[in-house]
Amino acid sequence: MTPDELRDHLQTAIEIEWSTIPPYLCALWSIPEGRNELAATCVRDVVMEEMLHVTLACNLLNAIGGSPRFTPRPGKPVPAPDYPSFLPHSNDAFVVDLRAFSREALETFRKIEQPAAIGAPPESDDYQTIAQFYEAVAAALAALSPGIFVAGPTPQVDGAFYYGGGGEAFPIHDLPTASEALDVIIFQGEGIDLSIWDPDHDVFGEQEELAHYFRFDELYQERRYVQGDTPSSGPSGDPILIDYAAIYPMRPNPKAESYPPGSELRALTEECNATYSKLLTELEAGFTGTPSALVGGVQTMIELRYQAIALMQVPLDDGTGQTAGPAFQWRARSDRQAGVE
Amino acid sequence: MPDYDVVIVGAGPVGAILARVLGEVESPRPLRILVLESGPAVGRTWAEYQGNHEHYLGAEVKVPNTPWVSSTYAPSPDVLDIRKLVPGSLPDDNGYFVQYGPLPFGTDYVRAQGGTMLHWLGTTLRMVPNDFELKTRYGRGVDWPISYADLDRYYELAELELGVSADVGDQAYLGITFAKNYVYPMFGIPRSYLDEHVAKAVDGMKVKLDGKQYTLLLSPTPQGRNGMPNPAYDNGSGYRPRGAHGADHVGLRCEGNSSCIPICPVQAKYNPLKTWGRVAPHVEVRTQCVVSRVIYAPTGSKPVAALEYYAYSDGRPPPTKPDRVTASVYVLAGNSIENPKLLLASGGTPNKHVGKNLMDHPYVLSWALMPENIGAYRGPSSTSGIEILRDGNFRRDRAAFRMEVVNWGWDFVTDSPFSDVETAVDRGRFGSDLRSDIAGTVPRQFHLGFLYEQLPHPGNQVFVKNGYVDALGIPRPCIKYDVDDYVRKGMAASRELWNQLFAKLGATEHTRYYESDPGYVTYDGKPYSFIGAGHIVGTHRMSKTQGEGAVDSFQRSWEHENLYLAGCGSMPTVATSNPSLTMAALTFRTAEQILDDLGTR
Amino acid sequence: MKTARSFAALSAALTGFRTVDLWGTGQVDVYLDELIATVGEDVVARLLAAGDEALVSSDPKKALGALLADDELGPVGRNVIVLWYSGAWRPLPGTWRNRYGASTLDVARVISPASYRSGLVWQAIGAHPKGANGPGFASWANPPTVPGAG
Repeated sequence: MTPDELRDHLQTAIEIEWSTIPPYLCALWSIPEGRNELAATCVRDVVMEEMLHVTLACNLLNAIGGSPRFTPRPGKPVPAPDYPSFLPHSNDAFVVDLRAFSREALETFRKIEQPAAIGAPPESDDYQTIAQFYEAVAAALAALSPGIFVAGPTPQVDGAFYYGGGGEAFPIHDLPTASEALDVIIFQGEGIDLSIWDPDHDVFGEQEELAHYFRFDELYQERRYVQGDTPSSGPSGDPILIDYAAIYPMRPNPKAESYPPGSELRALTEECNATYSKLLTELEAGFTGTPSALVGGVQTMIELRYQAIALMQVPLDDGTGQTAGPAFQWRARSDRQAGVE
Repeated sequence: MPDYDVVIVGAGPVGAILARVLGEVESPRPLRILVLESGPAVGRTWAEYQGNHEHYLGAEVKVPNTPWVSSTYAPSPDVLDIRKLVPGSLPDDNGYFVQYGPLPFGTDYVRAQGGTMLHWLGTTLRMVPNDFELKTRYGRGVDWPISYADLDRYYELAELELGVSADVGDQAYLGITFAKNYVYPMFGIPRSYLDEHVAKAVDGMKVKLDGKQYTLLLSPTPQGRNGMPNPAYDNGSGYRPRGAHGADHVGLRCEGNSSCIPICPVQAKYNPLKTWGRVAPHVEVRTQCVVSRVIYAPTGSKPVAALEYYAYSDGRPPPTKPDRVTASVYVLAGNSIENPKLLLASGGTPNKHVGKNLMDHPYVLSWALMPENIGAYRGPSSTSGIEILRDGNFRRDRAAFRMEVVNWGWDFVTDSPFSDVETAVDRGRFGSDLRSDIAGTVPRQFHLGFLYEQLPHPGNQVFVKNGYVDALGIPRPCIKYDVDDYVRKGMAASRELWNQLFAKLGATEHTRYYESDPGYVTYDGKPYSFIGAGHIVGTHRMSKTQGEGAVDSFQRSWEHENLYLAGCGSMPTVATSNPSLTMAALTFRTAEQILDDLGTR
Repeated sequence: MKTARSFAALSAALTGFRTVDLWGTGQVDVYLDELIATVGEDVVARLLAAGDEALVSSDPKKALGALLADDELGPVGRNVIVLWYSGAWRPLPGTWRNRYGASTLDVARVISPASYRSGLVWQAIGAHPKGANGPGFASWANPPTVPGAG
């Protein structure tokens, strides 16, 4: 892999990590506050870890002379997917939707966080699992080190600007810090060393926290994992009660264009799209040398949350009982509607 | 052998800091420590804390004590109990306090684990050096037995414990100094849009107050709430903000919920629960235990022999018999009213200063409408103030004061913004007219708050009296309170200030005081209504020599060497700074002394 | 659902907010239920019928003004506005209670923590409910904006 290819791959890494966030956020925000708290906590924890992964991937890309991108450039489309979508650069095995918290959503989340099978080769494109992808990045990084690391200060985001869960963000400037970052990403995602991926191995007494896959699997199976359980035994602990009836019934994959031009719902959806687009702009600024832009980014994320939750409570006119929802559509600044009636 | 090495009465901020520091002792052996808290636990877990928040949101009347459950057997005073007193009538025993007047003591507190700092604002000003020498410098009040220099190191400990956000350069005024290379744990909290607007007009502005000219400066307020950590803290080690107790990823930065009082929903603002979360597990904390009596030994070197307390359960009949506990060292860390109340109710011959010299910061608001939208109702209550009028020769004649710029519109004074809506609707406004009416006025609201230095007067006092008891039969605090001309003259000076400020800002004043206000006073023919600031101080003051006060500079009782009276009651004067930071600093100093007493330092 | 839509449409016209904004609070059904429980089905039916009629009239603003001036429906309509702006019910005027009846629910009360959070007044002034929905670190330093105003 050439340095340019590696930088491309890290941009891809950012896009992969980011592409999981809107679906997770949809699921999280569709759970009304105070209801299904175990499920909400699980999804929130995973989202925060994905945010950390985005941050670390950006730090790493900066460390090797790249420049993280969240918004389109001439000839380069917006890096965030238009849902429904395959994961970027994946082998297109499954489609990711924007959905309310549901069994269908959990099925997809499990696929996203599927650990690599033992012996699966590192794959940098058409990967089957995200772990395979990172293994390929790690190998290239080791091969190109130390020359690939840029001398002098590079834009980095640390705990001052990244906080609120998921773990600690730290600056990356050499192979050890880069490897640490990749370890965090892979470990949090898969939770286990690949070498012990044995479907009959007890992995649930060894960690403080379950890997993403198993956390979603718990919710899917509606039962806790306990010590002694193995991936093939499945969870055998206490049942988890999930009240799916309490979830906002968001119609999957909302789009502004689904509503008539001039309608209030279209306007509200576009307001939410504008906020999402503002967030992408702020993230890009934050990860390319102006970390303080993330202060605004956090505010924008909060605003996005309230707009999304509002949409999820607006019933559609069609008698289905379903509601609108956040569309996560990129809008260039010139296309963004101001938040006015 | 006594039951414990140390018994602490009160699980508020003072109790929490003492328990944390004393609980850290490992050699020669861990100390046996018991904490008795009269009120309930209100935030042992994050879920329990969130319950307080939800309760507050759903409450029709939202006052500082609203979120915090109160126990029948350990009632708390509430601002809703405060009424205008009728001169010459029986004392007003409508609330927990028995108010003898002539003015009502308008301050509340919280009896629960965490104490009143559960609903403090978060202002962490240091005292100015001259505050410690009021008598020597200005012939007023009394001096402290310690100086600013004695406290500097403890201020640093307090600023770490409370997690203070501020910039040293902004805080070095009126002789306040900092150790070389000192920085606060976190950078200053960003000032509000309103602050910046006011600062533009005020900085460098010349004003005349009682015939003298002053140059104004709006200072950013140091705050015990999470901001951006300063990597230079502790010689470059940096600082990690502390999140909520039981949810450490929550509240790592102030989120601008704009309800520091009564409750920070995310615990970005310090509260003692955060310290309790770090107290060693072997420290025993018993809530719902009201200490009713200090029992003195007839002779010997340990003048306090035991404490008596009632352990109760809410919803159950009252306990009939008190329990008893003994210790090597006793610390009363109730507050400036509960501490003297307990001592006065215990019989014996209390130190003559106990219960006397009750002080608060009488707090006066003035409010106005800016000519433009200044973004009211956003951010922490106050993020800047005028501090440079806190000291000067005028203190010979009148009270010094500090002024805070308040970001919350008129909410304290007129129940805005709801009252604005009701008024507009009742005037027939609806639809987009209503909306633009509200949008056109409410965001222009702001108010100023003035805190005046009250002098110690023995006549302002806490006492107990037969016939006034709580549900456990324990005497309730009886209070005599007045505001003298020294303070009222300070109010008059502040009026001169706000008149000139409003004029400079082009703001339209809407201040109105009513004779029916409980804290209505006049000076020079002009009215003022003050409310309590919750800064209860002075009732067991510290002194250099026995006879001048109740405790020495370590807050140890002059008469009872195994008894400490800790907290704001030890402050000889109230000065103008919100007292929490100084109280915490004094607590660290006392903790060291207790360790010395026990031979474990 | 039809009743709820009428209520949302009338509420939107009375408050100056869009119906989607009202639905977005999740309070449309809650407030309608509270209203019915407090002033009774008949009054609410008359209020909504008058509202439907006003909204399709040639001069809805004038018609709504007349509705709010009505002895029976006016005070209820004004209370609906206050309810939406504050999340709290305020007692009807004594004259109304004397004439049309007093409900035990006709007392000052916040409907729920969620309704308090949904108070429209905060949106109207470009702020957030005091004590909830904190807009994030340093947001208070931003220049104020008043969405949807003027």
